[in-house]
Amino acid sequence: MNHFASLCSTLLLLALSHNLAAETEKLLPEQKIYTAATFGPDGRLWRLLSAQQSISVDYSVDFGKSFSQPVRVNSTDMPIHAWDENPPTLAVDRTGRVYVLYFADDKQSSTSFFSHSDNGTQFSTPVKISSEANTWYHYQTEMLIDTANRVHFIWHDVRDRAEYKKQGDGDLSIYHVSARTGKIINLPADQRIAKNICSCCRTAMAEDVDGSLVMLARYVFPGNIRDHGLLKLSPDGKTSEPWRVTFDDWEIEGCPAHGPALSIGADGRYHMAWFTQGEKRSGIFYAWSDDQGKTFSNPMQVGDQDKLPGRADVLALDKQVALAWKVFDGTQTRVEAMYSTDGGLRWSKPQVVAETATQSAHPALITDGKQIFLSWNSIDTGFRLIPIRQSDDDSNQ
Amino acid sequence: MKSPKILITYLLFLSCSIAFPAHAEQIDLKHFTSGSYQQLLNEYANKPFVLLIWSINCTSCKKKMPLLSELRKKMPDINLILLATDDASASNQALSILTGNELNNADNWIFADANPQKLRYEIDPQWYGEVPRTYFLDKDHQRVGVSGSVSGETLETMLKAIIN
Repeated sequence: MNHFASLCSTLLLLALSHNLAAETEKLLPEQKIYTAATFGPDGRLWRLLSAQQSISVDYSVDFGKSFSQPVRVNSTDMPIHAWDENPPTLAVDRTGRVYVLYFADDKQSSTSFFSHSDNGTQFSTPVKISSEANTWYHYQTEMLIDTANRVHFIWHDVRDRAEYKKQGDGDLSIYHVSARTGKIINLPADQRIAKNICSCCRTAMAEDVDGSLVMLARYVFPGNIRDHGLLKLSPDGKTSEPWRVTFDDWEIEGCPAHGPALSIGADGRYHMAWFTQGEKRSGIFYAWSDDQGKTFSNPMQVGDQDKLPGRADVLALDKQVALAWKVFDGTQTRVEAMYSTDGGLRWSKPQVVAETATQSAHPALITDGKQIFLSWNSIDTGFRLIPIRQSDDDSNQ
Repeated sequence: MKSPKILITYLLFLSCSIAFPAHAEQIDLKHFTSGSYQQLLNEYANKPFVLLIWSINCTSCKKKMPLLSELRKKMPDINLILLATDDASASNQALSILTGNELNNADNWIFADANPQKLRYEIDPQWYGEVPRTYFLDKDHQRVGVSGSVSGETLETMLKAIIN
């Protein structure tokens, strides 16, 4: 393109972007599908509710039968912008403080915002999480409150683009920031903790029993192998070298758009679930590790291959472990689940626990410390909280 | 101070619109909804075409765009359809990427349905949603689907195969 032409297209785009900004808001997909839910220490079920211009929080004392009056998080309207593989997060700590992570269009599309509250009645002014939030596009942010009362954020950030271009492969980096929780939370400058991450698969995060933060990410290994690696951030802030934990040899110069799931039980057992279309295996798989992720059990295939199984979540509550995933037959989306009472060694038969013919979010497993629930939202039925348990007539296989 | 600047910008903008009507013609992407895939098959009846499915968050997709653009110059008769799987609100982001790669005058679409899973299924019941996903269809619409970036060489071979 010559100078004049490129100047013209820039100008045209500038002129268009004015109209498009208003248009864009109208075109944002239905945000109300992206509900997040979690239990507080007193057994209350908290929800983050997304709308086109606002985020609000409510709670239920009767397992989701009825909810309190919602409290708004962002006082000024902003275009809320989440998608399936970029959902908001809600966390409640041991003292009942409420933490909200959501995405809204700002200087960059789908910028990560954070707000918190001492008791859920009033929320702090939302702040941007990334130090470079105004200049670099970032997304798929995850939030975790650890047992040492620190709030952690990790996200996928494109700011090292030049480095990857020079390198010739690898998509982007994971950045991290953490801060002590309290009435006032000040986020320091963020830091890069991982390189060569596949750009459009969410990274999963869980706290180990020793207080370290464990991340399961889809890496771009040499030869464009998009298998998974683990990465550890110890309580003193040191980051480990990543190590590969799935060996499916999925070679693709592309985006699977399908992140993994990780849960660490009170007994220290790691449970992971992931999706692959590798040379060696294809589908959703589950495996556990008793040596902090150094080695894993043989991958166990999950779900009916003929129904596009995907979006698996896993949650361990002592020896109880649940797996939930989505299947689709062209019309109906169903969430199927299975259950283990011996830490993932033997499993119940898969059961359909919910279905919809409309758009739905990814299934999420949550716990009140006593049992495991599916938290799921679809356009037709709205939010659902469904206990996942072994049915009476279903014995372990 | 301000108004002469605006005037100059406006004049330049106007002259651009006149000089490059193609840019002005396709200012937005077509919305891909339920039934759109069938619509494409009808529109391109008895014609070979390439359907390249991509996303603004997909680094590999964007990396191969210059190559695609080059190839179009070499083989201008090829029917190229580009479909972004981002939601319609990402239209301007998608368009700026396409424009930067001189692909804005291809047949450009973007997902615009509440249920993207359904859209993917209508295109291909075996496709999990990984991108880029490229379909090469000959004139009888016999097709081959490839996940991940395809090399320039493969692309050229596949294109020749569907044309002949």
